[in-house]
Amino acid sequence: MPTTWAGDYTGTTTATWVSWTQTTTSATSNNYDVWPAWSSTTGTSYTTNYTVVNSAPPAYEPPTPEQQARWKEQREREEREAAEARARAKALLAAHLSSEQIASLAAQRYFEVVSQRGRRYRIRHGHAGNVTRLDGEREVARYCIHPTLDVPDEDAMLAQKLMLEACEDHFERIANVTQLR
Amino acid sequence: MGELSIMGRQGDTKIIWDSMRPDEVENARRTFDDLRKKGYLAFAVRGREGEKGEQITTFDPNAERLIMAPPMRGGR
Repeated sequence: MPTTWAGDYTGTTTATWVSWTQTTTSATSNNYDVWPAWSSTTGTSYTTNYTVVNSAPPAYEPPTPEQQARWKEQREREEREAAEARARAKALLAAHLSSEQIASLAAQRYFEVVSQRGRRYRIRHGHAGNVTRLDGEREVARYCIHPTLDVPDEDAMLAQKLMLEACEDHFERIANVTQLR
Repeated sequence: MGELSIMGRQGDTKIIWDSMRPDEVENARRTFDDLRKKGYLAFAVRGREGEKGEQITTFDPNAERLIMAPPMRGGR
């Protein structure tokens, strides 16, 4: 069904436009002939393109009890799998930290490592943007680097630790660095 | 016995081999090589007190523990 306003643009609004431009400020009053010129050159194809699409939303159908049960089961399965993944990653990380690092992670949510080149880094609990380099006790640079797979945070932290200790150059080449001083 | 831990979405998957059994060694080596081709980083680690690891590029059947991490990339 064609809209009424689209038809108005090509025809009946010409008089309105002229009237409006003549009654408005001087900055626009000289433009009263713009609209008739524009609308006469755009033609009817412009107006005929405007049709009202059937916009009635589909009727809402509440989920069936079977669907709800299936979704609940899926959500619970995903939560269970995520918890198991986190537990595995936590155990793997703990197996490769010193007792001091484990205690620091539990109390402060970070642990520190001495890198291949003897620099100190702090790895916070997280996945990306969680590594800082220390100068004394001051954090002087933040590094954003993370695995391309969506692994649990503890796995990302272990990968960051291993890289800093075994291939610091590679770590620095890949990481996005923000100087903090 | 050697142990290879491969990081993944579901936590790590472990492959264990006996260096005296060629089939187990071969299975671990094949997995190692496949993941290396996909850009995984490999580290050999020793001890249980947070000792530093060593980056490796070839499979060592006599290694105590190996860890493979997915390729890393910089964030924003």
